[in-house]
Amino acid sequence: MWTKTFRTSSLFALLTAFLVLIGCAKTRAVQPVAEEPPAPPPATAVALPAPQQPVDPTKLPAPALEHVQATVNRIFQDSVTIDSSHNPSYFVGDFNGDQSQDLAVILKPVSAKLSFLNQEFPTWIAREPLKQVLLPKSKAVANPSIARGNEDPASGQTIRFAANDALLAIVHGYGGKGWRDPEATQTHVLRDVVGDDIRMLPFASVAKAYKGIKPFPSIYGDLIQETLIGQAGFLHFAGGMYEWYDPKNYKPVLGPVHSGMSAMR
Amino acid sequence: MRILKIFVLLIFAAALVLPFTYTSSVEGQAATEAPTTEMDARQSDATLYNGFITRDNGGLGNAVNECTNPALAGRSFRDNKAIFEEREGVADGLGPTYNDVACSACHQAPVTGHVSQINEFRAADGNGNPPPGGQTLIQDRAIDPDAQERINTGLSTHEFRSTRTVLGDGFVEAIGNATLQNNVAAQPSGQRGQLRTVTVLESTAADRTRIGRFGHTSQHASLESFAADAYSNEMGITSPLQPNENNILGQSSAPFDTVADPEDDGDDVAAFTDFMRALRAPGRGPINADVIAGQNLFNAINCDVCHTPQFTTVPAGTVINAGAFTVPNSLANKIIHPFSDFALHNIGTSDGIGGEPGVNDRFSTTTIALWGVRTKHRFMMQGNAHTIFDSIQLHAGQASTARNNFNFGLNNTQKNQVIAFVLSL
Repeated sequence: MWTKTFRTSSLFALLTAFLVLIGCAKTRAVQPVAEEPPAPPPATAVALPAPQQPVDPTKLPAPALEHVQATVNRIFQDSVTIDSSHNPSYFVGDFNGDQSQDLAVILKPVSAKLSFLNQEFPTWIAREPLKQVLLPKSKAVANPSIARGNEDPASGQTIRFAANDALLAIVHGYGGKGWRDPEATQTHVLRDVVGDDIRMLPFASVAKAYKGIKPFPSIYGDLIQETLIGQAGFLHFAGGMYEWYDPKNYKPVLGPVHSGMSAMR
Repeated sequence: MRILKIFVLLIFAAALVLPFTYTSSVEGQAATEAPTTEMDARQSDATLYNGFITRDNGGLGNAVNECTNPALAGRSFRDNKAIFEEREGVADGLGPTYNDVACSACHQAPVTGHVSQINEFRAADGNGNPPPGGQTLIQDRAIDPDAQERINTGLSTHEFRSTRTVLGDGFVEAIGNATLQNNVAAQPSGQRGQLRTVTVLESTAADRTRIGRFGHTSQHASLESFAADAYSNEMGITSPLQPNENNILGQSSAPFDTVADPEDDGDDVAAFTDFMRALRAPGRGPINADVIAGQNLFNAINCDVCHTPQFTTVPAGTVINAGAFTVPNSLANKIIHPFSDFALHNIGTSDGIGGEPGVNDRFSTTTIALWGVRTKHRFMMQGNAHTIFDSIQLHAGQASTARNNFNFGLNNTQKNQVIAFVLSL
């Protein structure tokens, strides 16, 4: 008798408990749960890494040929030589404005190594800035980028390098060591832009040097000033690429008018 | 008898535990892949729809014909799509300054919601500071010649920003704050991004903040805030969340503005929001052996640190957007593959426009989500790279290590595989 009662009541209790708990469980599952609010950013977890130490040019040694050669070899192996017929054949500056010192060096291809320069996946970005500029007819004739006409670049390349090319390589710096850092490999190779009186113009001097000249392009860093096809101007970093500017022929892309120099860092 | 009693007690104990196991299986439901679209404009727009039920309790709905069956209240996905595609005019509040006349003017190809060739134009002074009036966006169009913006005030810094996709953004909105924060915290220090905490405009909570994820600088955390912002800045149409008309380089636009603010009572912004929430994620292209090998290499050379391959959205019923939105089943517990961490990084490709509040570095921009990138032919934020290879070479700063790994750690076959993988996204 006791056993039967126990059995019946146990089963009843079991069933009741099961149903009640299932019911409660379902109710709980649809309760809205608020998303965790943003955690305050712990400095060690989500902040940006410390900004690169600004380069103090007086604390970096002057560029020595052996260091320049080592950097050139790191990127181009033995496919180019430094063109020492130019003076200077290399100089430094912060051309892309990232506060890390960059290297500009004039190069000549090595004839026997053209296949390396024309490889499918070079470790540099090759461009011809003069092709982007609308020059007057008289100048355009003398523009080697235009005179060269169409060529057949290697797969993956925009340029087919030839043995007599004049190249300007700009190696972007990385961190406080700048272009000397082994990580510094981002390189722009510019063809047909090695002119006369080539030199670095510090960013801080741009406003004075070009006072009152307009239109004027966006400037982010030091400039590479020179005379190309008889016209003084400069190469400047613009949105990830280098462009040529000369005051006589410059046409801004969108027609924005810049009324004065405020290109301060 | 004793054995029977013990048996009954065990059953009873099991019955007590079982429901809790069942309960937790609801919240911790196994995540499933989010529905994707092939982005094929020849297919029905049903292939864009992810199942999200609109705030008007609408589903996919019927095809919209502006003459015989226009978009109506009680809006469905298709009604909202028609509103997203609708061309606005001056009587609707367009302008005085604006970039285009419809959301779909920029978010159109190959399917409504994705991308286009359109870039917006921003300008600032040499230090990246905004022009008079505080707005770095220079609208390309105006409803009156005298309202046209021209940067003639010493704005020497210019930047283009390419259109980003809104496909899959409903799922992106449903990624939890903690998920994004944990992802960034796990990044190597040299590549670590910055997440922004921004205000959710439609929230009425005391704390209206959330982790930003939409826009080139992650300036919005919710699609409703993003939609209201875009309606105001890209089309010049004000709404309750963005009630003030844009100025014209610091000058009032009131002389050109004939429609009282807010020009949209909030209905259009709601339609845009629900449309975006209901969009599937971009689907993958063909996957072959090279693509699979390329994905492994992409991860091995650390591209995946910032281009995060996978997130899982929050469980159903989670209240996000600082209390303003409850995530439904259609967006919950979904695995997505945006290939972005939605954090800001300085990779040397920005022109440094606009030091926005809470951003450590004005040259930082939000990692572009790579999903759907195979539909594009201009890459990077400014659209100035024409190949994937060039895009990789433009990566500098925090992305230098990944670029160097690509350049010096892979042979040509492997480089081609990485490119094949990216172009499968």
